Amino acid sequence: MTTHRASNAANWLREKLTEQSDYEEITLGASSQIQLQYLKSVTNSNLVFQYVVVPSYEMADVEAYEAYIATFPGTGKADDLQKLIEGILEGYTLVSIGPNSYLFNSVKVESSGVGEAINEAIVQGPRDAFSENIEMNLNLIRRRYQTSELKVETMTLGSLSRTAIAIVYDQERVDSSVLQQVKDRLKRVKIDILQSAGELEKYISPHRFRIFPNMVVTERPDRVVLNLTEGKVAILMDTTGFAIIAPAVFTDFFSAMDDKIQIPLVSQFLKLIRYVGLFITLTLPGLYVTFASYNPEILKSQLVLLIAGSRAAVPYPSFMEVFFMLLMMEFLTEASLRLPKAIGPTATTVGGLILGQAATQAGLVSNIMIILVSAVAISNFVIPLSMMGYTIRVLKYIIVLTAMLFGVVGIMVSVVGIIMYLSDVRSFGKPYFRLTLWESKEKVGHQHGKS
Amino acid sequence: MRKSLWAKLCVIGLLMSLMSGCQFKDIDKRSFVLAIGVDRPEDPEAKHLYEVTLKTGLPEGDPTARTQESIMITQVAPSIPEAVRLMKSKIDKELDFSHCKVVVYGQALARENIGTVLDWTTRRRDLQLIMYCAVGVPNAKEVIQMQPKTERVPGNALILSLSKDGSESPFVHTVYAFDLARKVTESGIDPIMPIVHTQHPDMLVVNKLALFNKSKMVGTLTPDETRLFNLLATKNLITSFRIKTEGNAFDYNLESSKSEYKINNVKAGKATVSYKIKGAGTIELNDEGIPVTGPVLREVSRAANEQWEKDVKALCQKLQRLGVDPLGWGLRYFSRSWDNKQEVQQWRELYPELDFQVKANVEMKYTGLIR
Amino acid sequence: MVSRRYYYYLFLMSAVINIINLVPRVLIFTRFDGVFWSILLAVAYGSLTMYMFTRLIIKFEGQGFPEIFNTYLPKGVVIPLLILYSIFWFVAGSIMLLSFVDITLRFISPDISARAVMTGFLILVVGASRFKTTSILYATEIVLLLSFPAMVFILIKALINPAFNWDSVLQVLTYLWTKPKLVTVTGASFAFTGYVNLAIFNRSFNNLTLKLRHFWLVPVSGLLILLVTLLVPIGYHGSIGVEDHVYSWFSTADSLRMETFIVERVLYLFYITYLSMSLVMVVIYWHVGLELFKGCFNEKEDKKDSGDKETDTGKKSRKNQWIEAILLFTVSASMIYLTERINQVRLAQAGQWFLNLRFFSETFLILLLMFLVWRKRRSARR
Repeated sequence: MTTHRASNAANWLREKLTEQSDYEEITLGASSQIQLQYLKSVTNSNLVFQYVVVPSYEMADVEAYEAYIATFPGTGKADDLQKLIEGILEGYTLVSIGPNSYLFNSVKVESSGVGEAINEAIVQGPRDAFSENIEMNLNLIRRRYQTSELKVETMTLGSLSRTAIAIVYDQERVDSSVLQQVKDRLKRVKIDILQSAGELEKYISPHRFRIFPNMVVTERPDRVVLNLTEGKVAILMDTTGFAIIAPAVFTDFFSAMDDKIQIPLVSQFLKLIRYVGLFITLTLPGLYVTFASYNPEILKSQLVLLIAGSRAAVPYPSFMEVFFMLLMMEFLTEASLRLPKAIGPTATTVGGLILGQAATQAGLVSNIMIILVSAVAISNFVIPLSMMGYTIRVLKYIIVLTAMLFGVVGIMVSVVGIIMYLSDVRSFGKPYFRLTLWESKEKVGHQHGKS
Repeated sequence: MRKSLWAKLCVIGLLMSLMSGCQFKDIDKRSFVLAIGVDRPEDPEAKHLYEVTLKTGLPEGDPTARTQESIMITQVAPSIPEAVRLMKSKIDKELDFSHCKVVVYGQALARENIGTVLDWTTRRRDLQLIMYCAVGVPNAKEVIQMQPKTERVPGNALILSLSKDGSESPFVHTVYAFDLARKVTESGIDPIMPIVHTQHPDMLVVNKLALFNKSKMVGTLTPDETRLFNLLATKNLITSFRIKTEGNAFDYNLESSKSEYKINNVKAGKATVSYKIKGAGTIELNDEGIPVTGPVLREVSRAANEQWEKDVKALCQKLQRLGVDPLGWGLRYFSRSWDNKQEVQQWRELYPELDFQVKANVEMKYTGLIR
Repeated sequence: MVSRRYYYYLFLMSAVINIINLVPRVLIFTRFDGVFWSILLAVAYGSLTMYMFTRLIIKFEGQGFPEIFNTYLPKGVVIPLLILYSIFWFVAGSIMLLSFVDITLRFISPDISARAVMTGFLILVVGASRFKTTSILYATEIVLLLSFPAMVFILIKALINPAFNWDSVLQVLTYLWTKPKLVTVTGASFAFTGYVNLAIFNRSFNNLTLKLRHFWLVPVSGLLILLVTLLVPIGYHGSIGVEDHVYSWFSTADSLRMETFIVERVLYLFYITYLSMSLVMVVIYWHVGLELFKGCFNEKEDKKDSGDKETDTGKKSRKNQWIEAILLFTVSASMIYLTERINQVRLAQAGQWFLNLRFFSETFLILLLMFLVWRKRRSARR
């Protein structure tokens, strides 16, 4: 009876996990009576080796060994299949000795190698970031997503670098068409060296003119887990601390992981702030050119006289002024990004204070321009994911350009143009930019790929 | 697909070369006209010409110094556009009318005809329809040139006193350009404009109303009449009134007011305009200092009612005598009459014989902080 | 495939956009000559045609005109028909574009050259009309939603302003008992015309159903929109003076003030709201025109070329790209040519002609669809 049950447990587990690439099975002992089953990524193999493998050779007697295992602290009998699979996913090892099977506690706790998220820092909530080791990253995900539906498929990319890639998804929720596309595109990648997630993102994106990021690149395991529950596919990569999530929609780039933690009203407000920031950073430079050169009639007369007054000493047209200051700002951000931490603040002080102050006093730029440039820079940093931030940084020049050519008409045309362009973008066949406000009620069934 | 990017770049480059320096005019190369005054010249030889005065803002380099100056330009020409063209050669910057907020019609011009100027201001695309319109006394030029001490931004004193944004004087009736234009064309209602007159050395006074028979000024209302007019024309007028009771005099402050009227056309050939004015007031001043009790309050209310009924009736009759209809009685009559063919003729006959009934109901609610 | 709410956006978009130029002009022109009955007739006619057209085209699930025509009509008829209607849609977009260039020059940038403004608009419209059909629907929703608060704000601002003269409005209302005019009916029914775009946009719908529970909103909102279109300018410019204004709604917006905002004149808010909406509307029209035209060359095999395979390769066949390029280039060139040639009076005349023609051609479309549905049923039975 017990024999039947125990071998049943081992077989059942094998069936369940055999497709998982990190599943491992070892047979010990002379008569192959001892069998170990576990998931590599969540199991501390040192523990297994030291307390399970080594004693099996030291003790000649199987019964003694069984007694040893059974009395090992934290070890229990595996008689409930549900508990069994949960244990395995958590990092336990299934030790089957003859008819009996035990769950040996071998949970791997990665704490030393896991750093804090720097690029997507948040106020409260988990601080873990992906490390540069794919095993550890899988561990980070598995620990947060303990279900057997979580599938991990591995492959290697790069003929020289041989970088390990893992496609992670929830079998139940994943959109099969997206998954297929991800696999196809990964297979199509032919390169020598692959070193970063951003690079990979570029290779698997469609080769056409694009401005907006098509996939989310993140360093946060909790973001990956959240997206897995939404049926998305995550691509993990060895040697980089970032994961790729596909498909992405526009709003993904404006959600921070804080939003889940905050009170709903607050998080709504924060989201609104981000979109307002987006709007400001996009249009403000263009609007300045418009108001200063094309359509001063739009503003109130007091404001117009103020702008005119502050521009009175500036010897070149407004768009030169805007380009000049925006470029300075770009230099400043780039410089402070690359500089060593120790010198960074000096650069900002020199740039921000001295340049701004002196430029206005010399009459090279207007006071209002300085305020505007700082507002543009600050509101650009409100966007949580830096990939979108970079895109917006570039896009605002297009708006300045159209404002320079057509004034307020140009700004409106380019804003509408951006909206239209965004609506036409598809990420892995999914609409990138559209309202889904009423979608949940109407049940058009986009969960399973037929939207 | 590289090609499409290049194509786009080419298009942009082409456009830029097409339009470089085309219509790009910086804000500091423009001179913003803030107020226009149009008048007939004083010279009797040139009575058919127009004298146009512009007040333009002069932006200062230092925004912390809040005294911004303005420049006045005057030009006499056979027409207003001609005058503007001539003025362009008098100033180094491009004249920009898009911020013009006030147009002042000189008294002499207003008594003659405002039609031409009105046509120009509504037709010209950069002139707003929300400009304030006023009649300038003694003439438009002096009103425009007046520079009150309180003025921080050029032309702002005139703008603030004509609008309700600054001081909320009960003697001002704000008139926008679109309002003036529609009243000139609409039948059954006549235009009005506030009168701005200068008081030397540096004051602008707005407390009278000019009455127009379509495009010709035919009379004025005194400050008291203007205030009553505003009481009839607007809701919740902020003002105070002075009334005399037996041996005592009170000033009361109007907290809320509302006036409505009906035209009763019971018999053929005879119509009555009956006004109902409601209001609530607070005693603001008590000349003799006797304690204000309930009966005294009622007494004051009664006196106030009588005062209003008498004054409003007199005002209406004055308007009737002048043959103008600034309150739109005619339009009200037309809008309630389904006989569209005859109504204009009917009203023309009814108007001189109009009767006025005024029912005032002002209630003194508070005695102020003391009894 | 998209949710059916997008169908109502198509209607709403063209209903609110009619305020710009043609419809208020014809309504105001006949304000003493039966405008109210004309509006009522137009509402009845417009909702009826909308209802019928939609019911009929639902029968061809997920198909646009080119596919339907190619299946059920002889080839000799299909090509002239498609070209005719394609021209029709292009003209609709062009009139709107020309009006907006005129408005821009009049109210916003008097100094800029008409050709430059037109070029700017064309870059967007030409680029966007080649997009996927569903993409245009998504964009429509977003632009409409962004514009909606501004529209409501302007409307409320206009109605609660004490300068709004209700007596003038009532004066016009006393002309209720006058005979309706055909020209007003055709003009006013233009407000309902959004549904004809289903000619192509039907490709994106596969679960479109008309429920009376929702559909009653169409006549009601249409009636309200038409009344607002007519009456608000009258309240601001008087029952007689309103005729003096070329773009009565823009003049109305210019009569409003936002005292407590950095932009004082409501005109600009109105302008940018309506500019973005009409650009999207022109994109819709031209997209339909383009797809109809392409339908002449494509047989059934690649009927949904730019339609709805939601793949992001976005590759179109070489042939189609050439057709698109040549057609759009021709249209753009003629638009730029026209901007210099056309004047205000001619544009108004052309607009009026268009309104009248549209009225009859839409009626014809419904008859044609009835015939097609009949053929479809017969062929299905066989």
